[in-house]
Amino acid sequence: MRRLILSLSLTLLPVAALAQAANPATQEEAQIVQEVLGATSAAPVTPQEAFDEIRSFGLSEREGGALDAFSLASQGNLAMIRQEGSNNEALFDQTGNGNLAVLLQLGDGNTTTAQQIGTGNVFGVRIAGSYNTLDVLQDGSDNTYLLDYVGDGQTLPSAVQSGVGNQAVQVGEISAPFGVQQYGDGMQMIIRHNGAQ
Amino acid sequence: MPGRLVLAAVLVPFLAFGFAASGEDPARIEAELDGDTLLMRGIFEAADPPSAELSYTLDVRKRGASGTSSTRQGGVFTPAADRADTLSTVRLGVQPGDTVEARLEVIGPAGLVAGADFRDTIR
Repeated sequence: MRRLILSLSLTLLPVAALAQAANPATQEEAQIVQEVLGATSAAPVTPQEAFDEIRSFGLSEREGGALDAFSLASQGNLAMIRQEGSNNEALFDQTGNGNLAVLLQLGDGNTTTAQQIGTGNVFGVRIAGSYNTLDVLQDGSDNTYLLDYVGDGQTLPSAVQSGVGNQAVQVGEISAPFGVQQYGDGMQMIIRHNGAQ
Repeated sequence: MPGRLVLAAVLVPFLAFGFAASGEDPARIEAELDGDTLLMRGIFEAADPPSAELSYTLDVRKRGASGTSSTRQGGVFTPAADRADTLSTVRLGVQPGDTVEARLEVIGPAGLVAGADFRDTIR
């Protein structure tokens, strides 16, 4: 039996205004942590955890080996694309050092664009299904975006992150739309489904 | 055993720096086909490189039955003599009939330093 634990913590205006007065670097914070039979945690996803999540996308042995051999901090850009099906379209644009982008689109007619500017960014994304559309823009450094999406015919909300330290993470076998627009410093939105529907 | 694709590297005339006449292209694209995966690397190697920070862009585009994949990756690096710098790596899932094109450009303070092109069809 599955039990869903949902922990929702939102800090928005006017609380954010007070926080901003105390810490100008933190303009607003929003955290959503959703897990199944696991401890909720607001801890940021580390690069290693991000890699582990990406590995669970169903990478081949070769792709997993490339992931294992890659170091965000020291090696520079890496992009892995595997599209299975027909008429999929993927566009990556990476600038700077230490970026990683991985995309698996499994289905037909999916279109994903991703742009990463800066250093230390991680992208992710596995889309299993057909005729989905996704746009991701990360600007700054230390950003992380992971999405493991299953579904058809969705125009997924555009994900725009600007600033430093932002994260938007959704993994697991789900079919719900997911998106984020974050501006500022140190924000994160994490939804870990781990098999929940 | 992984197969290797024949590379097509086209040297762009040196514009800004006086490289040693080694006869080798400082910029090249290496491609390695391993099963259904094509690994592409943009590499810069020069006997007498400029003592300046350079930038690069590697554009890769694949077209085939599964659709279109495009990547554009860039960054900066400081070259060293006779050292092969792997500037960027792209790993593509491919199948027979896919066409892959790539363009590597290395740019210095005064403009284009070197470049290489790649084009092949997966068999």
